Amino acid sequence: MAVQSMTKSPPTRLQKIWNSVSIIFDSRVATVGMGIVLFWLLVAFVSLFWTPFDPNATSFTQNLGPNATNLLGTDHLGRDILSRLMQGTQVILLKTRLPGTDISLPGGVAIWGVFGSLTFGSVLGLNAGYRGGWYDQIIMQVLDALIAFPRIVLYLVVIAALGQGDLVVILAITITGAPGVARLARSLALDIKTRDYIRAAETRGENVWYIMFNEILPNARGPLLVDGMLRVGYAIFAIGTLGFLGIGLPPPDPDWGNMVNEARRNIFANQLAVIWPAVSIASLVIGLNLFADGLREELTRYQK
Amino acid sequence: MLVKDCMTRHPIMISPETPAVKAQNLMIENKVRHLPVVGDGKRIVGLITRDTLMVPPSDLGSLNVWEISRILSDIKAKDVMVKDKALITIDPNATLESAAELMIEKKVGCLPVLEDQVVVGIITEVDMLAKLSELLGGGAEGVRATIRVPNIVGEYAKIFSAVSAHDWGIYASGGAVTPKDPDHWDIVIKVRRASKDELLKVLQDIEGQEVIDIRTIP
Amino acid sequence: MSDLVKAPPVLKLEDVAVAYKVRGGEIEAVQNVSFEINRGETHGIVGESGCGKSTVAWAIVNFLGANGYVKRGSIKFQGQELVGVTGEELRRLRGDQIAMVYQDPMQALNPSMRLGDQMSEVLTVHRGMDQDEAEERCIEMLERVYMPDAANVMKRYPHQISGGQQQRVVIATALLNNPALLIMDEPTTALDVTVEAAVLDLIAELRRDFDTAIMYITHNLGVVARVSTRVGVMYAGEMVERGTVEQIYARPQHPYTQGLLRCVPKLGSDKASSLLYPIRGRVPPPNNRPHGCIYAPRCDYVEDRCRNEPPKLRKLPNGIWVRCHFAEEINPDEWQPSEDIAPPEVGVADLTSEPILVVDDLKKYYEVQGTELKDVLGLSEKRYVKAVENASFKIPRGTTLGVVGESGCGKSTLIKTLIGLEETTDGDAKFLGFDITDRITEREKSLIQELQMVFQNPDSTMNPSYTVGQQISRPMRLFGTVPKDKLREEVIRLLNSMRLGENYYDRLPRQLSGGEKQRVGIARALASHPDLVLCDEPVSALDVSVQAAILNLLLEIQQEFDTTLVFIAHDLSVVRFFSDQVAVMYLGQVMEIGPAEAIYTPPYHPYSEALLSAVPIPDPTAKQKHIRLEGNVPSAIDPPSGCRFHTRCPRRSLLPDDGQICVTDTPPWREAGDGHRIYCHLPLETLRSFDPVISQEGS
Repeated sequence: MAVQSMTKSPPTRLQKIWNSVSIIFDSRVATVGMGIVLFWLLVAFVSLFWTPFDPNATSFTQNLGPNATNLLGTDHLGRDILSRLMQGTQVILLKTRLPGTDISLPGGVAIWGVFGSLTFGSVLGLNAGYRGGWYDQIIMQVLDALIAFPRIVLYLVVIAALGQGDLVVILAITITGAPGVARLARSLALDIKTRDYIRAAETRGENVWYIMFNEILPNARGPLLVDGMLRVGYAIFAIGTLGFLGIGLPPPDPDWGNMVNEARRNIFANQLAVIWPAVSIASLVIGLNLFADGLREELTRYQK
Repeated sequence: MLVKDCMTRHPIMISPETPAVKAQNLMIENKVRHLPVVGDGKRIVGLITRDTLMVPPSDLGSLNVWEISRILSDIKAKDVMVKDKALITIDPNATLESAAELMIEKKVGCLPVLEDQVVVGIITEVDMLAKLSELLGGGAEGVRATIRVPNIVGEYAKIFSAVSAHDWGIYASGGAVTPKDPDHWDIVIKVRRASKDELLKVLQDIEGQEVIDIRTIP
Repeated sequence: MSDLVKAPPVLKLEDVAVAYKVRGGEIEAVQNVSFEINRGETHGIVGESGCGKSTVAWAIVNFLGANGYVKRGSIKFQGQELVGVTGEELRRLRGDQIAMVYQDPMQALNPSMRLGDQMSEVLTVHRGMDQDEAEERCIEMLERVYMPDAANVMKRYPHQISGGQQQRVVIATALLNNPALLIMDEPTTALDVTVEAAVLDLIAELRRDFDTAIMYITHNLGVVARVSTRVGVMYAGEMVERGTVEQIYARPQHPYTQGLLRCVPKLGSDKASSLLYPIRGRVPPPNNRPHGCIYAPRCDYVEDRCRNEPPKLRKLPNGIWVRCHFAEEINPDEWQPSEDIAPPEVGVADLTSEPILVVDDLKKYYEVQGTELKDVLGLSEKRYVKAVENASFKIPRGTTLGVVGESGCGKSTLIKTLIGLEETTDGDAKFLGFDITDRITEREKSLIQELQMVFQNPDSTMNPSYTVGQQISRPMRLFGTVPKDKLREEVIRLLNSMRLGENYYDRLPRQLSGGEKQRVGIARALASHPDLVLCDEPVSALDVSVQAAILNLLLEIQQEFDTTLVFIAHDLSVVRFFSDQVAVMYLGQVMEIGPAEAIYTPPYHPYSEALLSAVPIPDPTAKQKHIRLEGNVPSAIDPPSGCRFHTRCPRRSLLPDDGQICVTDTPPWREAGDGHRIYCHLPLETLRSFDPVISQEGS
């Protein structure tokens, strides 16, 4: 009976991890995306220890084009663009600075912001979707109201109220991202709650939070995570926008957004200073999008 | 006993573009002698029979073997089928007799049965013959008697009441004018549950009628 | 048409093999299939899921999709080869001469077009008819299929008519062009039993009138017996037996057919004939078929030759074609069940012992949310869907109550209310002496533990993210019935009771088959050792051979754990052999309830009688009454007054004034003794005088 040989022994942790990760390689799109993201992560990591020059040192001639020393040229203050670009990745991807001190939390602002909106949004969305009734009405109305505000306005409000700083930006991203996540979580919950295993849990008398987080959430993980990836891209945009508006992460440490902002003023003298950070933002966002897209294809292939 | 009760529904049909050679193979493999040619929606376009597939030698041009093959393979059903005025068809609600008359008059062996130009079946000589046999009680066992009666009203009734009085079943009957004798009719009946002698006696008792043939069909 | 004239078969398949190209090679889904269908004949193709019967149908009409193709063999339609035909030729054949009817009528009907438009499209496009004439034809055809109010139906949309009516429309549409071949792929599987019976009658009649050749695909052996003249049995992509319906059912030659017939519930005249014997093992997946005879791993009569040499389909002297080396030597009458599949002894339950569940006049109404402004403002009268209306019964400990009814009869609502997923509107329900009319969230944990449920759909009954072991142990952990260190042991013990092994502990649901998932579902329900288990159609979604195994399993469990069961089914034959009591429900009302045997013999409630005469029996020689219900099930929002069944009751005329009392008064309960109660105005003597619905030929 050839069919009985399903599993020889339970898979080891390593095998389990590999099984999840190998899904990525099944999709060409996801692999390319992951390649780009990994590239930037690597750059960020390297920049912790080394950049070609000090990013804040105004030691070069201003507005130079790419040359042997400054591979990407210099900006209007004579700083090396490449070094600034490299350091810019840190705050987005790698570390968050606590206000008033020199300590940094691991994980960049973009990452924390998305994490916040995923957590907050899932809780709200699952409650709305699973419990329905008044919970649904109230939560969704409040969130709809939030969505109605243009993002920039919300950012401005939050920052005006709480001042500048990495943590504030994280909060801003969380607040603007939560409604979208909640929407998604809600529709997933609405679909999943019709399944018999949820009924089974109910007939066991499980409490509502158990059902939401232990029965529904594990099956909603896929689409939510994929959505999360995309949001990292949006968060990076957001940071860029804030930086562009001048209310982003505080100087002097560079972030791509305010690099674009500053260089914009001198665009006639030095176009490349605008282009390099803009292209970097674009490439990271594209990389994340491709990764998320490919992953979604593979994950939802088996979703029932 | 209308055409629609007797016809073959869903006959094998071909499209006008079918090569004549393929049509012939179809007929041979499936042992049919007539193929309706239909277009979209089973609309009749023509009819192919064994005869129509005979190509007159004058059409061939030359007797060169390769030429002949080429010409033959090019010929399509639409080139050789019977069509338009030459194609005789019939309505499903027509009587069997009218179908028979039509076949005789036009000297055709097969009539496509059409409803609004759409083929719903075909009726062939063989179908008619099968029905004829059935009408005369063919294939079933019993006693078959032919009685000659004068051509007046009431003769049929005499036969039937005589037979039914004995609780025998009549399950086929047919009648026609006696050949060369317009004053008389020949009536055939097939009777069940009677023996030949019993039936003969009953029939001979009927006045004015003559039993000209009686036999048992096993 | 006279029998003397022999016409070539409409459809002839010879040694057909269909393959699908997949990543890394190809899979042969179907191998060695041969059969033929003549004009006016209905040929049934029977098999369980995955046997390839639908694939054969699609191969005929060239619907195999981009990666499927006919690898070998010939398919001759009306003498012409279909394999390899494409384009214009194929379109014409498909449109004019071959029609197909599917299981789900909504697949064939366009939800955004009126029915009249869809139907007349067939005529206007294929036959070039003008619109008015086409519509006239359509109305004629709808009347042919007994569609009430045909002219009005033409103006409606598909969602406005019932499932049975939709299927009639689809059949009518298929017949509009007078096709030579009609392929029906499980057309009645999704319909209720009484509706199915009416549609099957229709199909039989149409075959006679239109002389169409019908290929009828189904997994239901009873349906095949009713509609087909010939039948072919398929297993794992091969045709294993073929012959006339009478022959195959009376003397099946292939061990698989014999096995199938033994696991199909029968409505015979005695209880012994309703024992079920499952077939051991599993259907081999298409990429891993055994060498030699494809049925060898599961066959009771297997020999070495079977394992090495694949048998060919050969003709036996009695006209049956069979694919087995030893067909002549196997005598199904001498078969004895082996250890592993023998059903447990069914004892007679003591129905007078202390009841553990007492339900008294239970009502469950759902409020209908109106859509007008008045309703939103709360100004208009409230309307209710009266899903369950005064249900009363007692279930003694350790017995089984079977609840049978068609869709919309309230049986699911009844158990949802009992288990607490819904709140009772009125009435009493006491379980172990405790009141259970409240929601589950209000109940004591210890009470919840004793009342558990098994669900219908095996695919959604398990959480896809957790392993079998985790899911079975959850109730144990939740209710604290088992200490932590003993959990794994306990779970494995349960798995063994379900006849699953220890190696299922770490498997994920997607690695299990339907039957296995259902077993895990049952194990999970039993994990806390409940006193009462409610089963909501647990076997409806499974193949026949798996059904038999699960039903026997439930019986065993009942004996081992002394559990009381409430078993819901839509099919009277399934509940027969293991229920101690049976209740028949219609439109929220219990119409008849009593000891199991009493339901299957007179006195019957007229509805039970109609249900019994509608169930297709897998025995073409059995005589079954032909009672059909007119009309549709009325809406539960506005149920008929008096007796809810009065709008369709075929026995109404037995009462004075054409049964006026049925309209005005609710019926009384007639006591027929032994706890058998019938809810009807007809007096008991009249009910007793009905003939039994099913009798054997000659009896």
